[in-house]
Amino acid sequence: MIIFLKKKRSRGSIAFGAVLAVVLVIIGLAFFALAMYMGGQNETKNATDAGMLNVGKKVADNVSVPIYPTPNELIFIDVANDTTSGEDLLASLTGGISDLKEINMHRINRVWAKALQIGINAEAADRDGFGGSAKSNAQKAFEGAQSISNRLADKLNEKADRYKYFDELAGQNSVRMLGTDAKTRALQGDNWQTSLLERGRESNVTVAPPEYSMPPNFQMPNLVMKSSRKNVPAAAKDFWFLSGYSPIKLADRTFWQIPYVYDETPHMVSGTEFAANTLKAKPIDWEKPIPNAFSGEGIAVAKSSKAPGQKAISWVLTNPGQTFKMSIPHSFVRIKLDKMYSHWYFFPVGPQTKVEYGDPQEYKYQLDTHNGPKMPLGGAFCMYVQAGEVEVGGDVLARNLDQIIFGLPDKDNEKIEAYLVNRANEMIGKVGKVISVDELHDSLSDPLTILYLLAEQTEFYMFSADGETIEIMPKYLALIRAPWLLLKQGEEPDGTEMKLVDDADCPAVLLNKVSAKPLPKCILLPPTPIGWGLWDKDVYWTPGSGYNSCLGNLRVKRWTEIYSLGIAFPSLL
Amino acid sequence: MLNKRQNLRRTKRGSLLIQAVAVGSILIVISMALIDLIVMVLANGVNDAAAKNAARAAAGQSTMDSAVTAARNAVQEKKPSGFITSLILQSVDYDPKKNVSCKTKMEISLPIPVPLVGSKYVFMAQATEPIVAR
Repeated sequence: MIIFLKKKRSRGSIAFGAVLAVVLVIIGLAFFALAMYMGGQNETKNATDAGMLNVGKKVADNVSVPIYPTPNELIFIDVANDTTSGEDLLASLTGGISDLKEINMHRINRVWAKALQIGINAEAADRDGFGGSAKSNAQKAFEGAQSISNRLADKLNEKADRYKYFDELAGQNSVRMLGTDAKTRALQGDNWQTSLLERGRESNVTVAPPEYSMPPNFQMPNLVMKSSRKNVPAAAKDFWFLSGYSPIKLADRTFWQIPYVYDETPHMVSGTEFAANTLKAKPIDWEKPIPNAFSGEGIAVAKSSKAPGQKAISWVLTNPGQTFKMSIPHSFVRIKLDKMYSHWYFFPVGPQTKVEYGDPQEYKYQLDTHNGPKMPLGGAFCMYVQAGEVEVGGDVLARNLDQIIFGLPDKDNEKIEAYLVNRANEMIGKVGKVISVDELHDSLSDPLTILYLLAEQTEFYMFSADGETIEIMPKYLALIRAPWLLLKQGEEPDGTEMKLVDDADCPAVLLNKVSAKPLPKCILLPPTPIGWGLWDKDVYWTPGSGYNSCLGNLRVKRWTEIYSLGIAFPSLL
Repeated sequence: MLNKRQNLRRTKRGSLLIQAVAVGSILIVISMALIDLIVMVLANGVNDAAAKNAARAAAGQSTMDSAVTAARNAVQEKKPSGFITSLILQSVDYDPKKNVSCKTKMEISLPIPVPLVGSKYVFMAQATEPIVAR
């Protein structure tokens, strides 16, 4: 009995050892399988992240919609590129026909911003009472921007492009733990969603400070914001941005921007954050919002395996990483100088009442001798008073354009400066660049303008060819410098004319050779006959919304008034 | 008679010992293999993560030089320790504006050397990311 038990015990220890070995091998294999499974899961997640990051990058860069060749959309050709100057020669020469695939996620905010700028100009002109047809043009610009935006939103909601971008990169990442021939590809379906993240944070459009970006007497509170980043990069400390996914209301229209936080790149976000900001979970008033976040699902399967494969979902927030400035790059202000005349005034009944007599005589931007008329009975008790020869043109001789506009007689110059500086800044596309009053004067003071004036060029264009500086040139030179002007040169402002400077005058430097003959039995009262003159100036501003590229006309009217006074009195001698 | 019984007892004790040694050594071998396996799985995970981090860091750079520097810095963050004897960034394949691929090489020293193979083992990992820098 004892021997039998001992035999059993020895067999039992062998069996126990064998079972233990088998268990250990099973545990080992199970651990290996689990490690492979978890590693495969991890690899699938990494590959899906990479694929979705590619989606985040490519949707911003590659998904685009054409600008249709309709008047309302063609006005956005100058912002359908990534340059500050809006320069695209071929597109500008063909009215945009050659370049119909240009609005993507980088530029759509630029399109909305241009429509907003046109709206601001129109609204400001309307409030001043000189709106003309600007408001209806602003509506057209709004409709153009909205229609481009809607098409882009539709395109972005198509999933086919996203699947393609996902597969491009996810498949390049190894999922070898699932098999040597395993690859990750897009798992098409409902997990490919869009969302509207970073609501209320900055867009990729900056705005010049209000004193430069807004027309005079016009304000839009809460239009702009500083960067919402915790640590704002030094370069962006002074930037003002439009706000994303926040309605920008102007008149009865609502403009929109997509938030792209400054100096950030596409990156992964949490699923919770993504889900909380979908249009369904948190609606906004924008009828067809352009999403900035995308989710996608990937599946890793081995060709040789019949296993269902590993799945993973990722969420990416896109950001084009490119900042623009709210501007109308292809725009101009026309500066027109009216013909100048000398006007002759006499005082037939005494110094209180002046009468214009004789035809006004034109003078140019040089000294000119005018022969004044002889007015019969042109002075009290005078047979006639004759203005004689007068040298005119002293107010414009050797003056540059700045002096013609702002020089003597100077009155209300700040009003002219305000409009011109605002419009100059609307032309500038370079982020952070502001055209100051001094820079405006510098441009207008170009010594070449003296020569242009001597050459009787009286129509100038203020524009920006490079998006950074403004230039002022006579029409034909401007057409060479900025070829896009060829199609725009004939455009007139859509507002109506207002007077900025009303009859400013100052004593003129003249040498009058006045003569007078008293009536019989009368003698001239010394110091008469005497003559003097006044330099006069009117300045008119016609606001343009920029819809047709014309941001306004500045018209300067100068003239010289020449007074001849002769007073005689009856003589008792 | 007594000697026969004593001999039988000795023989039984000896066979039990042999059985215990045989079973024990198999268990030890299996256990050692398991330990090596755990180390290899963990090391592979670390290497994959290093390649991924390097590619992520390089993807945020706009030039080849800065991408290499960023990838190298990311890999150096994983300092060799324990069984990992070296971890290096073997190559950076930077295709401007498109993708960047980073390959890492990790050498480990297995805690229990494998006969005829030794204790050194090399892992390679590669990760590809889209360049997101402008």
